[in-house]
Amino acid sequence: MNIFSCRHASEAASASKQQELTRRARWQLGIHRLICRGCRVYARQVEALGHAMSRIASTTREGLPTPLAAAARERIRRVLEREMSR
Amino acid sequence: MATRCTRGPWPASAMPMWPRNLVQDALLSAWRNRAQYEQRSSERTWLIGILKHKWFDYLRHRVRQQAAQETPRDQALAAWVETQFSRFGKWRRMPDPWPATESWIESAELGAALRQCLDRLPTASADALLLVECDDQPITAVAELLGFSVGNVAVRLHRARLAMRYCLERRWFNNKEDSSS
Repeated sequence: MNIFSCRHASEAASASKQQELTRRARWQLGIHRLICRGCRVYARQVEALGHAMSRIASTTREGLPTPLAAAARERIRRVLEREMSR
Repeated sequence: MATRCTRGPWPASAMPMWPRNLVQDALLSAWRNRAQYEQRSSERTWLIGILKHKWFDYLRHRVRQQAAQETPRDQALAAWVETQFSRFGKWRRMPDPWPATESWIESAELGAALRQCLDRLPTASADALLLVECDDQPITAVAELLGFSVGNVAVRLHRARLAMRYCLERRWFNNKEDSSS
């Protein structure tokens, strides 16, 4: 069984967020992380990135689209008026 | 898969770019279909539901337009990823630990930093990452939505995470001198 390189380990770290790894890949990743500090750090950073993104998505204003510009507002009003007068 | 994302009313994958005419479209179709509106839900929920549908339609449409091929930005990102590892697949520059998550996750400027970094990604990769991390979509759903194979989405997510990590480190943690590039 080959030991993962950092390239493979980082791929596996990302993949493990979406899908369960095969037992073989879990082993390879585990062994690699035992000896590689960089990949242990990277795994934590991938987690933190996920946290940060979900946090932004769930906070009230941050993730929201910016308020409509006045011009867009005006355009919508015109279209609606046209529709209503049909 | 852990669900870390509190689902807000908005599809979070719409976060960085929310086309204005989409909002207009949604309002218009709400107006046209106002007869179908039942009082069971609030207007707000109803409108947001329509907007969500419009957004996913828009994504599908955009995907069909761009065809499932690599854009120059995709290629540039792929090439950049190659530079992160040596010939033997080792990190060229070992990732350094970030400060404890609690110390920065509440910060008000985090959103802007994330968005800046997302904007630098190829659009499809940013979409994939947002759909997975924020909308809690399984990879199969993301693949279907974006019109790529599951394998391709996995590669995109991997590249996107490497790039986001790098970008955040430089723009957000700011504790790196510019010696790596």
